[in-house]
Amino acid sequence: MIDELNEVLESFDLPYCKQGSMSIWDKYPETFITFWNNDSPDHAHYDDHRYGTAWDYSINVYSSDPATVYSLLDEVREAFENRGWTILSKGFDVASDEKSHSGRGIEVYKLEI
Amino acid sequence: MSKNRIEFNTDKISDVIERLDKAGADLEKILEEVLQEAAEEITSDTIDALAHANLPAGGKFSTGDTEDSVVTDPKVEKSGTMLEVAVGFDKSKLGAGGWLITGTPKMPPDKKLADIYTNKRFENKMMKRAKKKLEEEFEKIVGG
Repeated sequence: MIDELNEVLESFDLPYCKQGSMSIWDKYPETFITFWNNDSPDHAHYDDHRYGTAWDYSINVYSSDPATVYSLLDEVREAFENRGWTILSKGFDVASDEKSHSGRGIEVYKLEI
Repeated sequence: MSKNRIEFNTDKISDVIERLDKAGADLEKILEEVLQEAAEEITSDTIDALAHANLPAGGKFSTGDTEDSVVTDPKVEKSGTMLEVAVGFDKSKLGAGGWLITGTPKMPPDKKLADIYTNKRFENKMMKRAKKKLEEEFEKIVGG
């Protein structure tokens, strides 16, 4: 599933990385995306075998332009929905290390059988 | 005042709610108690997570304002036909609670807090507990 996640994020031609992976000395790019795997529990178990994985990621968009944060997040949401992921909200604010940037995130879910 | 909320998806416990309703139980009172219990557990887990030794940035964000912003007296309130209770961090106060839950590009989410507020497994655990409590209430009523 990480391959599919990478494909979707790469399609935006923007820097992207795992949430928390930038060093304290890194300069924020103008606009970028981060991701975090919240969980990936087994979907079910039959006869002691696991059946399916319920992938749960947070995808966050950061930008120095607040309007871009909103519009890009909508595009990200659509891109994941087009690949069969489920997203249940239009997003939530996420904290930024830098006063120059703001961020918003969504949670994306996909059941892999 | 903006705080975190937990919502119980009653679809998952609708069968036991229906049985309780048919048995003449004071459904609102029972659900209020279940929600209050869940909220208190979440509060306790939140405070415990903040005291955890391995917080990001050496625990820099776990003291002072962040700790003060934890909702320590969750109270279930009725809003129309819904019961709701605010838990977690009071976003109207200073503090880094939100940062710790979602992380930042330079700080990963705090595992314990993220497990409470973003992990579906925690929510499912709460629902299972709620269902168990409701089943116990039902047994009390039909058991006489």
